Amino acid sequence: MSSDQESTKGTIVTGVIGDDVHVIGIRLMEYALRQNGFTVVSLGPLAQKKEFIDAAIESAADALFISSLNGHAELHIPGLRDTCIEAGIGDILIYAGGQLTIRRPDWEQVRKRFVEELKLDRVYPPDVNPDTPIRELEADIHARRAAKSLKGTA
Amino acid sequence: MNTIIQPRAATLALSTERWDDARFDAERARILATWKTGADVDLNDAAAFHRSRAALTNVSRKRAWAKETGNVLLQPYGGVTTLAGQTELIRHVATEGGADIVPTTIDSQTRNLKYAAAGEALKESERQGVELLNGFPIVNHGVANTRQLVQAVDVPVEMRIGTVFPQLAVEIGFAGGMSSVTAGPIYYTAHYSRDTSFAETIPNWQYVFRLIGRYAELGVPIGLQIHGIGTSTPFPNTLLGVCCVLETLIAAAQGARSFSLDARLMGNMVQDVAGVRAIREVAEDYVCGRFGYRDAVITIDRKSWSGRYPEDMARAYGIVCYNAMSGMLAGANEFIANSVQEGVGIPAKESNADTLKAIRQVIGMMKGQHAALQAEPVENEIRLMKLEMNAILDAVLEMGEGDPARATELGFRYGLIDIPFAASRQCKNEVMVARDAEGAVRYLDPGKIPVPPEVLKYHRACLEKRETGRKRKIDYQTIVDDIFSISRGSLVID
Repeated sequence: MSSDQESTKGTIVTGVIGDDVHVIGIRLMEYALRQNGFTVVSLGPLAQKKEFIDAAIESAADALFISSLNGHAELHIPGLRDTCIEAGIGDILIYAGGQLTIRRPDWEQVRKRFVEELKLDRVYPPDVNPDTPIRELEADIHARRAAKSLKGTA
Repeated sequence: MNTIIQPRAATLALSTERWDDARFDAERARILATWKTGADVDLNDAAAFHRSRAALTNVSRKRAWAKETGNVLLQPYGGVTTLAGQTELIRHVATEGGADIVPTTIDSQTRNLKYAAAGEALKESERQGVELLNGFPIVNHGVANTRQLVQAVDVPVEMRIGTVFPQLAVEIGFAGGMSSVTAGPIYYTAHYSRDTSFAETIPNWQYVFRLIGRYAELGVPIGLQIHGIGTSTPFPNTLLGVCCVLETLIAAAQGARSFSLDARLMGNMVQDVAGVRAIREVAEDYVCGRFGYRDAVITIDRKSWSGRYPEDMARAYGIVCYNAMSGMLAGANEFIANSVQEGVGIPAKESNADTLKAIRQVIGMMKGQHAALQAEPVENEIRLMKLEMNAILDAVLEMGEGDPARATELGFRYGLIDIPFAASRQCKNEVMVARDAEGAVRYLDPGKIPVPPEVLKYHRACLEKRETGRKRKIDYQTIVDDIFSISRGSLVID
């Protein structure tokens, strides 16, 4: 795993969480991220919480991109934000996308569960165009960096 | 006598060089001791059993015979848990479906070395009279049961095992009279494992290839079906060809000589015909020519579409027959047949047999028809494919200082060999493809694969033609559509 954050718009750790091996969605997302100038640290399928965090620390990542299609994200994502905080990277951006729950409730309910309760930054349904998360990621990273540099000068 | 413990194969430096007897014998003693049925494996007894059987019950001899006589072979997929069930399955596809080679797919517990769990499931299956595993747990069945199985039919049996740990299962299979196995280290690293490195899988498979060498020394030829690389999405057959050549070279160095190389259906007739011919030519050039294995027998088997199938069997017949037709035009030696129930799940033996009959009908009609199918586009595609495969092979072989095993490891590490949508961390996954206006698979982005400029320029022009035609750029949705288009009824959805 390597990253050269200086020359890119940001470093993103990607992976399919838990017991899921569906890679088409995340591979497409990785391709889109690279096309848009991001550095990708790819964990591939069956990635565990700890692997995301270790990779994020090692690569000084700006964000985690978590994919899941088998509905088990609901089992694997709870506690992720807390684990990040314990590891000293509590403010890392966390996005998730795919079929995140076994049942398919209204998207608003899924968003509420993952964003408001589990403290992820953004979630996306399986058919999202990769450009959408990328635009929002650019804005989020921009805002973070602006806030940090403001803090630095204060 | 020193007491140094023999290191695991994986700890030795990666090399294509033939294993010396001391290394193989020590590793063999270790492997055969990993489960109790290993004790029943005796190489001389096994070779005598193989020699006692009719010549054409041997996969390798059957493939050589078919190549010489111009016969085209048929093999379905299939594997169930119990001896009775597997016997019934291979008998049915042989007698009713007319299979020339019958398969025995090994279950995933065995493939992951979980012999105790496989044994429990086998017992439960026998007790309940149901087939609980997704294949034949050959290590638990042991040598005697396997011999009973292979003797139930008068066609040869090929063992099909997707794993990075093939050694013990293959020992039992060969000792039990199976005369070929699906391989090898690249394919099963890229698609049956996430973390396992080539430094581990190449030696694990070299063990199998050296075992084949041992059988050859005892007068028993054993075959390999070489997969190369491949996913369930569209990908360039050139990448498969490159990996087939590397796997074949790694196997040949240990003494294997019978190779059936895959070529995969992608859906565009020109490219599907060109793929078979180009892979054959490049493989013969490198294996028999440049690396000097003049006695190697190389045949090409055509595998059908490996992505999603329609659930509707009638529509699936269309794919099956298109595969047979394009394979025959290309001069394929064998068809490995996904059944028409592919879109539904594990096929019943009846639909497997019916699928074989449909392909046989096409073979019967096409045999001997060497139609010049738009000779110019096909010839051009073959030329470009060979140019590309040569460029990749030469680049990675140079990197590996002429050693195919090291070339494999370094080629993947630096992304010179890559494939879209792979699960393994050994693949960079930086390459991306899309279909052109006629459905041929083209590089949208070659990543770090050293695709020659002429080839890349042609691929880009083909993709631009599609964009112009539909007045829309190839976007992410197009890539997804190209993956599922065949199951939805047409190759190109615009």
